[in-house]
Amino acid sequence: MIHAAQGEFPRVVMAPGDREDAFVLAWKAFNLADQLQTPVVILGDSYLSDNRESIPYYDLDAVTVERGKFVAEGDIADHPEALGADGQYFRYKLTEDGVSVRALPGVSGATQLVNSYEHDEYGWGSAGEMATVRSAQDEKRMRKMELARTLVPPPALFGVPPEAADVSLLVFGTTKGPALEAIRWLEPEGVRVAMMQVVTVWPFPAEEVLSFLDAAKTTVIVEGNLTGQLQGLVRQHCLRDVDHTLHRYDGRPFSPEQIYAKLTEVIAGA
Amino acid sequence: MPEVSEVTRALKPTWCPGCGNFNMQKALSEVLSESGMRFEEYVMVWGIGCHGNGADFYRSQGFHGLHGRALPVATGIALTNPQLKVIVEMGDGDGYGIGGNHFIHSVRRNVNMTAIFHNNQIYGLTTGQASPTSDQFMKTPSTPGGVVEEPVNPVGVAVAQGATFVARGFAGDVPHLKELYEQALAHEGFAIVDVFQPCVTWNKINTFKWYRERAYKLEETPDYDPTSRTKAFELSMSTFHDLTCAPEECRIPIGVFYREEKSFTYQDGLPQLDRPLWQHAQQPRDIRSILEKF
Repeated sequence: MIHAAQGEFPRVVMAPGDREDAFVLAWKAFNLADQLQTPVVILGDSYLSDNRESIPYYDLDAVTVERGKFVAEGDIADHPEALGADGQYFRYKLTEDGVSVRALPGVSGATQLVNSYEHDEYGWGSAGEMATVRSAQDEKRMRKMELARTLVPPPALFGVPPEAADVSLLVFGTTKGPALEAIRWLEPEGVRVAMMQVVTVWPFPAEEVLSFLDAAKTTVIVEGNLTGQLQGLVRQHCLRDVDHTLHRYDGRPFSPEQIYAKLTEVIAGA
Repeated sequence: MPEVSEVTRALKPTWCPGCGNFNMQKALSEVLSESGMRFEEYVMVWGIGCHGNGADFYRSQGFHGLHGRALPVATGIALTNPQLKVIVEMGDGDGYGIGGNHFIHSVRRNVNMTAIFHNNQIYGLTTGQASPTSDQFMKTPSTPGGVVEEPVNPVGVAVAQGATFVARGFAGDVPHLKELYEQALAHEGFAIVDVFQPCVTWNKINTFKWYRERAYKLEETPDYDPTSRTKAFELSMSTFHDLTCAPEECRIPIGVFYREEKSFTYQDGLPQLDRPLWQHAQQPRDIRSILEKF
C-alpha cells in the first residue's frame, strides 16, 4: 500500500482497528482525498469486515464534509487563485501546499486535461515530457505529504503512559482488539501496559512513535504479518528497533491468549 | 459557436503524415464546432494509443486516463453530471482488447454517451503488433507466423449485446463520418462508431486503397433497415473474411448498422440524476433512522 506505484506519488494509508475506527476513518478518508487530491487507502482485513459486534451509536455530529480547493459550479474567472498569468485555468497549478484548485467539468472557462501522463500546469502531456516541467510537477505533488501530516489522524494511546508501563506495545489495524483484551487480563495481575495504535500508517508518524518508544522501558511490536512491516517502518523512520516482536501470519487474527502469553513472557524475562 | 480552430489546439499532432487520425479529428472537430456546444457542455475521454495522443490536440474538458479504461472513466463522468455530453475515443487494442470487458458492459448498460473507436487493426503506437481486430493469418512483428485467432467483431458483439446505436465509419470519407458522428451525438443511449482508420506506417494490408475498394454505404443500400437487429448482425459477419480477399469477395459495409430510437438508458434508471451528484454531497446525510433499525 505504501510502496505500490508506477513512479512515486503521495498517498495516505490508514488502518482502522475496529468498527468505530472504520466508520470515523471512512469519512475522514473522503475528506482527506478531497483536501489533498490524492489517493487515500483504508487498510481493512477480513477480521474487521466479517464479524459482528454490538456497538454504541457512532458520533454522527462529528461527521463533516471537507471538499478542499473545489469549484463545482459558476465561472472559473471568479477564482483568480486557480488561474495562470494569462487568465487560463490551470488544473495542476504549482502551489505552495501542492494542491491546486479542482474545477469540475461544467464550470465555465475551466477547460482542462486530466492526464495520467506527466503534464504541465494545464494538463498537456506533450509539455510534461520536458525535464523541468516533470520535476516541478513531481515536487508539487510530493509537497502534499507535508500537508497530509497536519491533517491525518494521529496514533491512539491506550493503557498507562509508556513512562509508567512495565511493557509498551506498538500495534496497527485489528490487532487493537485482542491486544486491548490481553491488557485487561494483565491488569488484575498488577502488570501495567501502554499501547500505541498506529492509525495513520502513511505518512508514518515517526515523531510520535519515537517518543513513545523512547519513553518506554520494554517495547513489543505485535503485528499480523510474517516480515515485520510495522517494525520495518519503525527502523526506517525512527532509526531504532524494538525489544520484542510477535507475528501471526496463518491467515487468522491474533487471539488475546497469544498476546497475553507473549507479554507475560516478556515481563518474566525483563 | 466555437470555431474549429478553438476546438482543436494549435499544436502539430505527432501522428504520421497520412494517418487516418487526422481525418477523424477533422470530422469530429467540425461536428463539435457546428454543434454549437460550449466548452463546459461536453467532456472528452481518451484511452491509450496513437488516438489517445489526440488528448493533446483538442481543447476541451478532457480526461486522458489509463489503457483500456476510457469507458469506466466516461461512465463515471456521465453518471455524476447528466448535463454533460460525454465523448469517448478509444483504439481497437485499447477498446476491444484491453478494455474489451468494459466495452461489453457499457453496451449492456446503455449509458448515454458516444464512443468512437479508432480501428486500424494494428497496434500502431507500439510499432505494429497484432491487435484484437487484426485479420486472421496477418503477419506482424508479434505474430511472425500469422495471427492465429479470429478478429473481434465489434459491430457484431455490440449488436448481439443489445446496443442501441451501432455505426461504422471510414476515415477516408470525412463527410460520411461527420454524418455518423452527428447521429451518434444526437442519440439517447450508448452510441458506438467504429471507424476504420488506416495506419499508414504499420498496416500494409488494410490501407486507404484497400478500404476504398471494398467499402459501401448502407445509406445507399436499397431496403437496408437499420432497425433490424438480426440484419445488422448478419452484416457484421463481413468482419470475417480471407486476409487476401479480392475487393469483390469481401464487401465492407459502412454506415449505421443498427439504431433504436427510444431505449431505456442507464441514466433513466437512476432517479438521483435529477441533478449533478456533487449537489447531493454538500452536507453529511443523517443516517440515524437507518441505524435505529439495528
